[in-house]
Amino acid sequence: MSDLHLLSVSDQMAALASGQLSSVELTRHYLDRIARLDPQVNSFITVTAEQALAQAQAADQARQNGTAGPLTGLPVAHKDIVCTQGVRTSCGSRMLESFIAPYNATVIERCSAAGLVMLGKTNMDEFAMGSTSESSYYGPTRNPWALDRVPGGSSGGAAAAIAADLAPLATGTDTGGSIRQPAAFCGLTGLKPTYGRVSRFGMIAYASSLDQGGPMARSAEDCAHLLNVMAGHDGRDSTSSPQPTENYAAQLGQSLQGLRIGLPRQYFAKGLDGDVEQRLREALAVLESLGATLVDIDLQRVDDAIPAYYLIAPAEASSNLSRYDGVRYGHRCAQPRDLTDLYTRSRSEGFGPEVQRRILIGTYALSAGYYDAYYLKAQKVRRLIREDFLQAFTQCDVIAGPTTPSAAYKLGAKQDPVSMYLGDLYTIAVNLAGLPAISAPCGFDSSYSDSGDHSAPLPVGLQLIGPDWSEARLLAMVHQYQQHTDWHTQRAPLAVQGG
Amino acid sequence: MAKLIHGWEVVIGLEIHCQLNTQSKIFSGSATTFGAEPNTQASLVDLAMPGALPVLNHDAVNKAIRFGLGIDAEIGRASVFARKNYFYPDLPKGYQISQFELPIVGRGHIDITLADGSVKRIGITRAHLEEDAGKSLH
Repeated sequence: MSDLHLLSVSDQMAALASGQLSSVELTRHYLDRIARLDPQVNSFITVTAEQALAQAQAADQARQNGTAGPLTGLPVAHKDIVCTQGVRTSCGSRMLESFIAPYNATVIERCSAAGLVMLGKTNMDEFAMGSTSESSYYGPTRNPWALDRVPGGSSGGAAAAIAADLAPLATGTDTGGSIRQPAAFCGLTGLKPTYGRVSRFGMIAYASSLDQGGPMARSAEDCAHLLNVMAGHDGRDSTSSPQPTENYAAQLGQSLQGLRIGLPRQYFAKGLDGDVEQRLREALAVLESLGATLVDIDLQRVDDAIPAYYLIAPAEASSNLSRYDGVRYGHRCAQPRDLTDLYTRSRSEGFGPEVQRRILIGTYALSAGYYDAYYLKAQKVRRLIREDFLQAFTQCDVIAGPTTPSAAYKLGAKQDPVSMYLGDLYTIAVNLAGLPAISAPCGFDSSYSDSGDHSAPLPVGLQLIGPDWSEARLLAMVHQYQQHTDWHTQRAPLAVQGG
Repeated sequence: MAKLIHGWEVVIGLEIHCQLNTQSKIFSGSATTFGAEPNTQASLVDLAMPGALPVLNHDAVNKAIRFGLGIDAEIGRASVFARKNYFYPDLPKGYQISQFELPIVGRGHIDITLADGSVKRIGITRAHLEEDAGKSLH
């Protein structure tokens, strides 16, 4: 079959379970597509073809032995931020171009134990700092919906890979929106779980109090299966929560009857681009038809989130990235004259401009004389932002809004970093508050009709934010929505053209 | 009344680093056997590998508390670790995990007996837990 990639993940799982399809066949199918189509997209930094086929063979063997689980044999792509033993783990940076991870991240161990087959490591903004995947040392990733546009970031490679049908599932990470925004730009479903839900052991740190790994796929159902594998307490990550996990895939049928969806007035006071607001209102109407009610709420602190984040995250990053010094691994400058020269040149050469910018901002915000005014103050504002959400959740069960103010913009469009930062408006507060949130495709923006621009309509994302540990409800809401709409099944032109 | 020397009161402060005799290191499970071969007791965490995370050794906390009780000090019910950021060859992460605002042990004292048999109380401002490099050759 030349259209195995068009099967839903559930259908792939069923075909694998019944023996109708082998993991080797499915894996080879995706590897062939990657070889043919990825040169146009650049969604992978490293393709692990040999290992993938070996893992697929092992998966088929497990099925023969009767030891296979529900996900055994399914291919998955991993954002190049998670350590994979024996495989380059670059974080999208020159600094780690030569770094072969000596161990597996917990997320990788769990995926492996579940029998998932690793296709490769996906492209990303360098050290997860960015919203476009343009800052990658390995070249930008292109949006399969329009190759002159960004796929979003920092998990842009993962999103583009799924959108181009080069992988059915992917793991991403989200610090300020890096799963949700690329999911929105690429017409996919992506979930950032509650902080502490997924282990960060082996997940290269950007901002330790904000980073969280999560699933990306075409549907909430697919995400639920992957979350089942990823979630859970890990003794090796002291920030991972002992909160019991649930079987997320088993709770997708939860009714929406009586669910109160909060709409922050502040979200609609902003300029929403093109058709974004229209698509959002249509999606909310579908949720209402499924039994939910809409409630107007206030989120007073919406405007504080970006300034607070762009102090806290760079501060944490400046500390987390200090270990990249050219001594034990990673890029080392040629012929260092002395210790200072070793540190200075290795880091100046190894890090790109956006990473250097954030390290400098972060170091400044933490420095003596400025710590209280910047970092400490931002942390206080952060607590108020969380309290703002908790207050809102006394009046509603879930908060809805657009994931992004616009659909995907062109590569090179955001020359000024601050204008790129402002696009994180809806996603960033969620990380500061530690809450779970999901983005789901809710239609297209057709307003991109520049003369001579032949790009297809661009996907628009709906974001739902829930209280701590409400992943099951968020996934169920999107699943119900996806039973009554088909946005999530639409294919990008590149995916179709690739055949 | 303090004795003045040429009109000056002499105050001497001591900062003492005391290695706790735990079986493993404070933030990694690595052994601490004295005299072992170099690099045989350094784990992913100790080498600050990308993605490695510290896990606190509970015994270190217990010993710190025991010390605190021994000097009649307040024990911090809430205690916080903080990073001291700087670059140095014996600091793989580029920061030292230490304690700043809320140390595990607060104000205490130790009484010493002087040569003339009198007892002198030496105040201890605080004691906190931190990781420290054993020995650095570079």
